[in-house]
Amino acid sequence: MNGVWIVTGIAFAFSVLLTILTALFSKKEIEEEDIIKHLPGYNCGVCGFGSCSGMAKAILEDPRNYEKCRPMRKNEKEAFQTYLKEKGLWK
Amino acid sequence: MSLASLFVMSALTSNIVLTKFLGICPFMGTSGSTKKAFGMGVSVTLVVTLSSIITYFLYHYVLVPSNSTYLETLVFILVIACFVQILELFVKRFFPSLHQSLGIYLPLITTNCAVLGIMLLNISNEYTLTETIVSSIGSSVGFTLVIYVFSSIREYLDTRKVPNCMKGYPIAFIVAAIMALLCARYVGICWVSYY
Repeated sequence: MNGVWIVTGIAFAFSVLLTILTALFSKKEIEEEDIIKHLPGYNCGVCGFGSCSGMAKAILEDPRNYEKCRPMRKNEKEAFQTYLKEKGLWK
Repeated sequence: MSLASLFVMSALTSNIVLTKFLGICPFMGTSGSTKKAFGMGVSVTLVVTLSSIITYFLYHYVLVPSNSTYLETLVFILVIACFVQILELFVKRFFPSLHQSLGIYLPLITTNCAVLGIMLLNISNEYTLTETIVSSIGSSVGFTLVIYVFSSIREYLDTRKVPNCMKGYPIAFIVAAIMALLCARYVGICWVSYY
């Protein structure tokens, strides 16, 4: 019976520790739709990803892909970069 | 035995991979490129060092007083699994590219017998806390060293002409065997250090 309590206690302590650390360190997942809202939304496809949703997928993979967006103006691009940095996507 | 000779012994003379033949899975699996191998070695070093300290305290202050040392394997696996999860969180957050290239091998550190083997050997050799830390760091540095050298040799072999039947793993296993033979020669260092 002793053994059961020991293993239960240790496992419980570790699970609490893991829960806290997961809450602290796990990245907040950003959805495609959040990124699409910040894109111009012309669906022109000049970037090479077909549409703005394709562009959003590409940005999730590599944030530097946003530079390929043509309709976005320079100051808008700077704002977009700070948005990515805030969300922790930019490395 | 002095701490320095304990370090040399656990890193070279009784190397975890080449003389005890533990942890062969990541040794063969993640030695495709030197970057991957180094990442794996550092991850194993972190997990082994931290969890050996925790297991030392758990064994001597929880399991021995309550007379339930038969639980050591179960409890040690719990500790290792917890640390691997924490490590995975950190690697995923701060080194996403390394996380992607290590893939399944990172969570598999949990079932890496080298890690559990180091913990159990520390306990069965009745090391003190300092000796436990030194021997765990030594063993995992030995692991990192061997896996790094092995991956460099494999990267070099990729650029050479190898007979078709030997390409890939067969030649890698032969390289590993030659490395194990060479590592057996280090036994002399330990013999000197005893006297």
